[in-house]
Amino acid sequence: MNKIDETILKLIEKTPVSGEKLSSILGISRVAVWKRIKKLENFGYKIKKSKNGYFVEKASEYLLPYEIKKYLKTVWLGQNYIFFEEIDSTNVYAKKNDLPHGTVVLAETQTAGKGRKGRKWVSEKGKGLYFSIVLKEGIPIDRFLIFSLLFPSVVKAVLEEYIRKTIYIKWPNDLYIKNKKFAGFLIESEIEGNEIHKVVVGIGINVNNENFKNLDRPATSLFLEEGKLINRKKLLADILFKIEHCLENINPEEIIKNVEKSLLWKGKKVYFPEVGLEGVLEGLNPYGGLRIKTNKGIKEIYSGDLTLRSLDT
Amino acid sequence: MDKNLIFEIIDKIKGTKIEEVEFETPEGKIKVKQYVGPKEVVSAPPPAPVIEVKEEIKGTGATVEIETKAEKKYHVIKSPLVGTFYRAPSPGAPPFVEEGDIVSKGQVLCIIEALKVMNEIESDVNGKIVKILVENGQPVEYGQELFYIEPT
Repeated sequence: MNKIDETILKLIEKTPVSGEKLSSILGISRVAVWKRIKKLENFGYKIKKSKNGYFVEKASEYLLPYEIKKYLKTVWLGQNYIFFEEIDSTNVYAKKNDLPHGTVVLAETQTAGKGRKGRKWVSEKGKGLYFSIVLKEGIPIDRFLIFSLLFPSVVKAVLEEYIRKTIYIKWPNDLYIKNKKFAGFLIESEIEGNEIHKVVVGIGINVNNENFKNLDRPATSLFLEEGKLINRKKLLADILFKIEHCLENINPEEIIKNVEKSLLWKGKKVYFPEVGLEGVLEGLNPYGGLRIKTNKGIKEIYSGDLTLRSLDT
Repeated sequence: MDKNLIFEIIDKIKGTKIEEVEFETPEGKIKVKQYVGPKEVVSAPPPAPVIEVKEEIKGTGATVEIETKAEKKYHVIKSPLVGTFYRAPSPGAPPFVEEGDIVSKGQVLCIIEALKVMNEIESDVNGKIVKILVENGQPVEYGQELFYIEPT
């Protein structure tokens, strides 16, 4: 969608406008107007054609820049917004391209969505929120680990305004309802010397998804848990607004406290199969690492790459 | 004078019978001493071990000299954070770099993972990888040496 498409939308959103009038306002032929109306329909807009002209009956469900602008309340985060109907992975795109600080890259579906250890992240078209945030400024390397806990803690806080179910954080940053995952984060950074050049925060949330066949582990969505559809445009705008606010006011103690409060399996027996470590999940250390009480005392875990399982179920 | 040099000497003599290492550079003098246990433990007649130790000191002294040069010659890439060291972008993929590779500034050398954050550590110089000091999958501490690079 370009400027002309957006101008057409603006014109025919409130009242019907004839093809002839559109063609004279925009200085393009009536055939060109008709082609652009078709294009808008392909983007998911329901456009009615009557003797009074073209009229938008229903806006597109897609998270198009034009639609997101209606909801976005941020100052800098997401003001540069790149939309794809389909892409391999928003994180890969954000890493490969030189994008300004605060850019948000969003796709309705990812054909190679990345999860931990290259696991596939299934993204149903038009149902979830799959996006990446590019950050280049104000990232403290000494508090960088806590920085990664900021995102699940913020997203959880926003979602609690939408649903009533209890949300847990599986350390370090997966979001769960009961024992099912519905959101994940993949953060990638570029560091040279002691300076962080770029951070790409990939966020995937199952919002209105209904289908989780062919998955090797239990997954869910907000819709399946709450039984109602959620306005994805508003949810995205709310999440970006809260992230922007928290990035400007990083409070490590508060982040640790928030994550610890909702920590999945806290006080329960857990184990790490890859390293054969077993113990009680006590909580977090001040750096965001996991504290495990074992027979040989407290062990601190930093690797989010290790598989963490519960022994109590 | 580089503090790391002192730590390197300590590492070198740790566990050996060397009691004392002393050496001098234009910047100053360093003496490292360690407790090697009570002298009585040595069963051999006293004069012999003394000679032995002296020889060892000479040897260590030479090593230290080489290391001094290495320190000056090589650029050291250190870990900027606590985490797990990975030499490849994903399991089974070829490593980012091998010893002997020529790298340029900004090139990715490894990944350090912590709390599921994948940190790509880039070279801050142009040069040749002389030594990779950490094994794939090993935990690393803040400030731990990862690579020696010979700048070009």
